[in-house]
Amino acid sequence: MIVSIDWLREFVDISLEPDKVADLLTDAGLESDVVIQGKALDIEITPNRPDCMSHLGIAREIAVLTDRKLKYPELILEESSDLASDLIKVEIEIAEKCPRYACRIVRNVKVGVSPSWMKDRLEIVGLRAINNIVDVSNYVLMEMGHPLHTFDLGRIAG
Amino acid sequence: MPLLKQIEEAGREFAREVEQLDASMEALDSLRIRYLGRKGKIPSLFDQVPVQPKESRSEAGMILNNLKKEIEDRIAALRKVTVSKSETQPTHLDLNLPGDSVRFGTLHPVEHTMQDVKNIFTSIGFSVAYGPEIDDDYHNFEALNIPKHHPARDMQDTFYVSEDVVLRTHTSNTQIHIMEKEQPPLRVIVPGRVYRNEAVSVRSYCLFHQVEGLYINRSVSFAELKGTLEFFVGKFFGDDVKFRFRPSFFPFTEPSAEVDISCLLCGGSGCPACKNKGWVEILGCGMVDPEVFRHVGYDPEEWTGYAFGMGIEKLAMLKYQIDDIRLFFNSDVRFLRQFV
Repeated sequence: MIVSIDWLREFVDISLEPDKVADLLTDAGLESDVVIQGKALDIEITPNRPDCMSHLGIAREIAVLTDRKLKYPELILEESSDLASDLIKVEIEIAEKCPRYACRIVRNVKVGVSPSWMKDRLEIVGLRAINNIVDVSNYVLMEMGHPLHTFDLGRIAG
Repeated sequence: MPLLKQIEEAGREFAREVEQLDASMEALDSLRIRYLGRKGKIPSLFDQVPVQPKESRSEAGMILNNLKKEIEDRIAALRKVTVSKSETQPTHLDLNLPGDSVRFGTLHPVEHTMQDVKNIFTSIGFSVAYGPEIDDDYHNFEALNIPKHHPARDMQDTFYVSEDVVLRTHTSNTQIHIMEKEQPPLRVIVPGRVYRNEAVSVRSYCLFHQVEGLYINRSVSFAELKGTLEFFVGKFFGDDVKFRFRPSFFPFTEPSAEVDISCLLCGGSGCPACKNKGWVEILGCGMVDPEVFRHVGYDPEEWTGYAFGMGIEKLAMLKYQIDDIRLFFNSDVRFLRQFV
């Protein structure tokens, strides 16, 4: 998995050179190589460490290894009084395979081009920018390690 | 000159020539042609017979016939002597020439390396066991704590013979076979061929060889694993080679580690061969996961152990500085003959 060093800096102070960071991670069981002219790390994540499959996860490792504090992303949420459950109904058919399904409705979205800083970060980790909707879900996946999907509320049948 | 005199003369001349003849087939042939050939002396004398006076014609013919018979016999006799001489004196044999050397086969570098590894481990008390190359899913995966649909299955690209039968992806399947049959303590190595469904390249091939190690006893410690592998690295690569343990993950060991050695080309300062790291990985190892013991009916509270596995081609490539794994499988004698 490729992580951007610039992106990691949002969650942890990194004062070390990229190759030193790679050495630290390698010694901790996350075999790492410096790639893209020192802008990113290519990390081999073993199947026992799915918690490291995100920038936040790798930042957490670096924070522990360098004795720094992990800064979680700041969440700013403006909720309306409308309930999503009034607008859409979600039914889980096999509870043991899907213990939880969360969804949220975002109104007044205008489809367009993502800001260049977001496109740059996605490109470094190997994703192609499509539009702001697709890019945001990919961005959150790479940052938090949580997959999500976006649907057009107007096109959901039933 | 009368014909009879000429015949007498020819007979004398023949006798003289035979006396001076050197013992070669060529000289004998030339003699025969000069006397008996179509334009030789004897036929030319015969040509004169019909023009002789009637009363001496038959006498001349008779004498000439006798001479011809005499010459033929003599030449036939000489031929026998000459032939047997050339047989007993072969002229093309030169005893000074060196003989054609017999080409001996050599051990394949994989076999050679395998034997080196086997010798090192048997010298410290490991026995050698073998296991099946075609095995069921249970022995290759399930019993090694790699359940179906577990992400760890993606670590190895597998050739499936059928849904439940695979070409083994590692020699670790034999750990299970041995533990099912034997009771601990155990100390064994398992050399063998393994298969991976991977694109063939400089670094990977669809089959290669491994040597697996398994030690099971009461209170086995990681230090014993380290000591054993340190001994192996020193014996195989030499005592001046540094090595390190690096934490890793295998489903059937916990904790798991990979062992790197200092790059043999640059000695650890970094070069293209080690991707500037100074270290190259040689094997994977760890303490046997209690889950594996449960699968074979050993009490994980009572028994502990370590396991390790190494790729033979990789070891050979490092030791002999071979840069393409495919060379091992191309059967090119120019390559193979370099390993004596």
